[in-house]
Amino acid sequence: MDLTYIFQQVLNALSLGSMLALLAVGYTMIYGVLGLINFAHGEVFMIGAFTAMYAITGLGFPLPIALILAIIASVLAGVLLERFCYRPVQGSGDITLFITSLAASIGIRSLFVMLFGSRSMQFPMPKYLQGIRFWGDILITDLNLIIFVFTVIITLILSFFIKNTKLGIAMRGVSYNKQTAEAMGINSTSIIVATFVIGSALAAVAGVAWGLQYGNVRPAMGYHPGISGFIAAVLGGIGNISGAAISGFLLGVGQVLFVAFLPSVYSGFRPLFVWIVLFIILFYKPTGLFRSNIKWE
Amino acid sequence: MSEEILKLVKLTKKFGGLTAVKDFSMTLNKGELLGLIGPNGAGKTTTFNLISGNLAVSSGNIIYQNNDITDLRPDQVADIGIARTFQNIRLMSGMTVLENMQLAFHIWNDYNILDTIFRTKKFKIKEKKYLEEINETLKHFNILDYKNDKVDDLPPGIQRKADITRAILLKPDLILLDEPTAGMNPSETDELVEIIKWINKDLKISTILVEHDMRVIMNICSRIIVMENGDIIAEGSPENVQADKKVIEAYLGKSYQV
Repeated sequence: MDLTYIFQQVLNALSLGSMLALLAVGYTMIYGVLGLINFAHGEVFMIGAFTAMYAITGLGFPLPIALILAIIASVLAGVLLERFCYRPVQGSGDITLFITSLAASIGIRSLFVMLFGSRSMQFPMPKYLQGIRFWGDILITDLNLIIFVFTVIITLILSFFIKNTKLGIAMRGVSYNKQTAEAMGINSTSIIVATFVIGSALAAVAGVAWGLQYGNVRPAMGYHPGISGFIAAVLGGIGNISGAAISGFLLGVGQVLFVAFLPSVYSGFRPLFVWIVLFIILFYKPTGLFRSNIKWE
Repeated sequence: MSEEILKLVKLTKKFGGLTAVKDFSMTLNKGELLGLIGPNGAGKTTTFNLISGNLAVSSGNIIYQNNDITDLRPDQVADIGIARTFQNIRLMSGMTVLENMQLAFHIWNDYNILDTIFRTKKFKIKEKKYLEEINETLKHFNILDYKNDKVDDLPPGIQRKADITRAILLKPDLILLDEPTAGMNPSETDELVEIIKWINKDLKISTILVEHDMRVIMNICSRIIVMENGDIIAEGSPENVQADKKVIEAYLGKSYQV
C-alpha cells in the first residue's frame, strides 16, 4: 500500500466527491432559507439523471443539450416540490416538514419505479469523454477531471454570487431571520423559490455526472448520494456553502479510501462510512467542521 | 391642518377567542412623534405587527398615504416606506454590522447581476454611494468603529443602535419603534432619546414609539395614545395622559386612585 495507490484512490474519488459537493450545497442552501432538510433532494438529482438519459437515448440529443434539459426538469421538480409540498405546511413545525419531505422522497421514487421499473437503465457516455491520461504511474480519466473542474467552478461562482449579489445577500438575510429580512423589503417567498431553483439545478448537474461516471440510472439512485450529500451538509456546518462543498469532497474521498483499505469483499460497505461520519459529528461536533452561517435557535 | 400619513380604521385582530386589538382607530400626522403606551398585553406590538404585515388583519383597514395597505406582505410594506424594529434586537447574527446595513439597501439597489459580475461603472458608483451613506449614518449613531465586527460580539447597546440604523437606511417615511430602550442602561437610554429626536426632527421621519420607559415617552412625544385590552383608553398630550384617571388605573390598579 504505497503513496501512489492512495493518490490514485483520491483521484478516483474526485468525481464522487464532486457530486456529493453539488448535492451538499443544495441541501445546505435549502436548509438555510427554509429550515428544512429536503429529503426529496436525492429524487431531484435522480430526475435530472433520468431526463438526461432519456434526452440522449430516446430523443438523440447531444450531451450538452441533455444537461440543459436535465437542469430544466430538476428545477421544475424542485419548484413544484416547494409550491405543493413545503409551502402549504410552512410554519407547522419541524416534524411536519421532516415527514413531508420524507414522503415526497418516497413518493417520487415510487412513481418512477411504477413508470420505468426498478432496474438500472444504461446511461450512454459520449466518445469525447472516454479519454484517459497517465501521470507517471497514476491514471486519471478525462471524465473525472472534467466533473471535478466543473464542480469547483460552479461552487466558486455560487460563493461569489451569495456574497456579492443582491439576490445572494437577500438569501443570506432570509436564512438568518426571515421576519427581519421581510422587514427589510425582501420577499421571502420568491427568495425561497430562487433557492430551490439553484439547489435543484446543482442536483441535476450532479445527476448527469453520476450517470456518466457509473453508466446507469435507476429510480432509487438518489437514495445513497442524497443521504451522503445531506451528511456532507451537516459536516460542513449546515447553512455554510463552501463548508458543504469541501465536506462533500472529503466525504467522497473518505468513502473511497475507506473501502480501498478493506479487503475487496467489503467494497459494498462504502455507505457505512458516511453513517460512521454522521454518528461521530453528531456526537462530538454537531455544528459541523466549519463555522455555520445559521444561528441555531 | 397637517397631512395624515397613517390611518387605522376600526382595526381588529383576533387570536382564536382572544381579541388582541379591538376596533382600534387612530391617525398619525406627517412628521409627528406619537407614543403608544399601555400595560403588557394591551395590543401595542400586535398593532405594529398588523401595520407591518407580519400578522393578517381580522377586520378593519390600514391606510397609508391614502392607499389601503391592509393586505400587503411585510416586504411590500417595507417597500412603500414603513420601517420597523422589533422588541428583541433582530440583527443577522452571523453577519458583520456593515453586511447588516447592506441588507437595508436591498430595495434600493437597481443594478442587475451582470453589473455585479463585471463591476460596471454604474455598479461601482452606486456601491460607493451606498457605502458612503452607510458610513455617514453609522457615524451619526457613533458606531462606525464597529462596522466590520460580527454583531454577536457587540454589547446590546451597540446592537440596538445598529438595529435602528438599519431601519433608517431603508429611508422610510414612517418608522415603528418597538421598545427601543428596553434593556438599556440610563446613559444608553439618553443617547437613544437623542437618536429618536434626530430621526423625527432632522430626518423628518414620522414615528410611532412603543415604550415602557415613561421618562422617555413623556420627554419626547408630542401626543400619546394609551391602549388597554386592544383599544384606546386615553389620548392626548403627555400632561393630560399622565393625569388621566383611567390611565392611572390601568397602570397601577384601582387602589392607587385618590
